[in-house]
Amino acid sequence: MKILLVVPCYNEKQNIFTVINGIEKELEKVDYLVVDDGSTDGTTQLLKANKINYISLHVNCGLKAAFQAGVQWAVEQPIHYDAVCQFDADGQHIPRYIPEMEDLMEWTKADVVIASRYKDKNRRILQNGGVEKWFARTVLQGLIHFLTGNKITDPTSGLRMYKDTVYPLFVRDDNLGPEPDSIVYFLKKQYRVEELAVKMNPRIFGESYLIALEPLRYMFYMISSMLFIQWWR
Amino acid sequence: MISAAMRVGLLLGGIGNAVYVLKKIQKSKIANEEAVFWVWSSFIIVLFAVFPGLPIFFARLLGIESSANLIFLFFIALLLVRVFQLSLKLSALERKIVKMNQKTAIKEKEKAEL
Repeated sequence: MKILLVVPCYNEKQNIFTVINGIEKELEKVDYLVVDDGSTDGTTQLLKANKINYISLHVNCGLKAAFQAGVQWAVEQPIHYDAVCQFDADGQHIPRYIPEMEDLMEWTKADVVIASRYKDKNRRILQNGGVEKWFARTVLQGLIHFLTGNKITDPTSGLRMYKDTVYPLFVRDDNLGPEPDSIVYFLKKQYRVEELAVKMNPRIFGESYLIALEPLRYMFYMISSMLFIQWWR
Repeated sequence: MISAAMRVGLLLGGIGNAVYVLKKIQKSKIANEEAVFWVWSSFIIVLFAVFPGLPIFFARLLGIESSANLIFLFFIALLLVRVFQLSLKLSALERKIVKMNQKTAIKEKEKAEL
């Protein structure tokens, strides 16, 4: 399988280089594309100077638009990518799980593979989650179960692999983002979603996209979107 | 009944609104498609002031006690519809900006690689 890692990043000067180094070292056969989402801290210059494969949005458009841009690039390439994988630029995700996700995708014929921190108790997340994360996860899990009948142990995981059966949808459909509400959409459309038990690192430096989004507002939006938008489409 | 004070208020408000909107149209500060709504809404305000029989008639028809309430209801409904239309327009605009942004980013990369 030919895989492209899409790495959306916004002001990740401190992390991006380490992350890309890790990808290049561990995954020789995998392509990657960094999508710089209008960074203002010099990330763009860093990407350019180090000959990293990247595209750069001129203004900050958010995670969804950044990921969609990466998929758009993938679709326009002369080679065909069998899968596109979203990969965080903050060092949380461990590259060596990518081949495992790929294997799982092939074995189970899944359309989406989610790297789950909670599927296997032996591969627990290193970072201590805290009550509000447990609460957010439980609510989203319950909602997905209620709406689709499927059990997803880690809906907010940012490490997801999409097969060529689903990733083109991200450019055809503006309302589809690399977020938990899309899982409801995929499950409802009878796509197969599988989970792989993984470990994740605490992020290296700074704040994540999710914290920048304010957790409460994020949860309110996700719940509303799952209930009233993705479910009806 | 509509009080004289309310009629005067409506009349002044309607005319003031119309003058303001027409001035903006003259200076091309507002797109024609958008201006149409504001011209008509000013017209309706003036209409209600000049012919108070209109709101009274419709208030009776709908079983609303005070015709002032009908005027409120009418404009709240009108504005709700308008705000939703603006939401639609805003979504479309946002979409276009993001699409343009994504396209430029990809084009720039292609150019740099040539």
